[in-house]
Amino acid sequence: MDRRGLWGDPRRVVSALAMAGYVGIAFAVHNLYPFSVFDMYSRAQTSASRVVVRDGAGQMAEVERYDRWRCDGAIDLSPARCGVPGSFSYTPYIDASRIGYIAAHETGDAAGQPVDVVRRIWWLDAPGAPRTTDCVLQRCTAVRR
Amino acid sequence: MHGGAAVTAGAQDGESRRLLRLALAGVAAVDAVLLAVTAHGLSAEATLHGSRPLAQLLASAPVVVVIAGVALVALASFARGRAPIVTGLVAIAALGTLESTQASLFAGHQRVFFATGATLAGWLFGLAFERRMGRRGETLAEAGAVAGLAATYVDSGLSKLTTAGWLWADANTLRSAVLTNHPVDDTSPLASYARLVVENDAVAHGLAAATLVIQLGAVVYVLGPRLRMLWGALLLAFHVNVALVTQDIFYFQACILLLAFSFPWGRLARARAAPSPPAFAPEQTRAVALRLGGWVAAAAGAAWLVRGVIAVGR
Repeated sequence: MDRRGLWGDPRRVVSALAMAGYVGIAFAVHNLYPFSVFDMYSRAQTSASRVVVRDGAGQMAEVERYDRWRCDGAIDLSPARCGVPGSFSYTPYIDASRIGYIAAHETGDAAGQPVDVVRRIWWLDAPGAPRTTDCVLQRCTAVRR
Repeated sequence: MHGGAAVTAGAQDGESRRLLRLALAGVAAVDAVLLAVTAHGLSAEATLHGSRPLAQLLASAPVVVVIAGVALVALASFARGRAPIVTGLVAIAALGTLESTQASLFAGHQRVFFATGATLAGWLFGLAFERRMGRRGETLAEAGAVAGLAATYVDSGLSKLTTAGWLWADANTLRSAVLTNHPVDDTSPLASYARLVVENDAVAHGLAAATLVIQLGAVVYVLGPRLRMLWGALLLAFHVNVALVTQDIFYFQACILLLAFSFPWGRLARARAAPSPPAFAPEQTRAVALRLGGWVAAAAGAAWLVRGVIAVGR
């Protein structure tokens, strides 16, 4: 490429500098607005988990399907509660949002039905439908919406 | 190719970027409001994340209103083209404060807000480049914005490769992402699609491989209008598919920006031919590129140096 070709279209020069600069800075700072490496789902996984509700009949539901929560105590999200830390995958901000919802919809009465707040873990150790285990995080009462 | 005397008129290729500027400012304004509202809401809950006095203070009603107000006023000025570099930088600073506050209260960053910031930063870089060349148009601002937006996808692809390697494209990582996000009690037709992805290795593997190709291939988004349209459509399809299969992840800001920047809406409306490339003097381009490129390299180098110092300190 001759000199004029390299510098002839400044749009490409700007694009190259902007992209290289963004990538270079992002990989240094990881997450500092407006730079991010977007590594939310970058790790290879062999499991998944999600904090959900299990009713008396064993049916699973999202926490938002219930209202007027009352739990026996704080809900412990630490992974050690459900096995060896690192043995399963979890996403802290999603877990925190589940518990945040419950905390925001607490009530003092006990009018609801008994439910378990569980961490459902899917084990992706074989093709096809994954194997599941449920780890009880807290026993609560809540009213189905 | 584009030699000759410098052009000092407005838009060098006859295209107005006003609508792009308005779209960018509008999406950023929505981000400012959403970040302020969610940060304040999280502060009010103040339950699970322990004591974070600075974040609590920044998310308190009077302070968060001031920060969001600064962002909105700056974005309004940016949208109108008034001191766009200064007002754009002020908007980025305010948005960054809101984002950091929210992340501190939310147990992590929500990357959905970063696409706007990356695009805005790219716009400002291109605009600064253009001003350095003594021009008043926004041709290079658009080029910078497009590069900033594309860089977010390239970053995501590179993160996958540097963290998991090509193993990321095996079926399990995508299956895990779907299970982590998809509601367990979903009975809609979309549940069948999610189940298909989770229980069929070939489908999951194919979608994971396509994800890597589309994200890493976003480099070509900056190479010209046809490739931008093609890759913009692919990136939009990627976002829509993610939204359908997870029901929880939708980067609507990125989708709006992709819609705005990928397709020649103004030209289509006026049935105009593609504009000719702008005429810039190569010598001047080279001089400005070396100067601004040096600043970018210095910023990246400083960021890596700080990162290294922090790592050693630990």
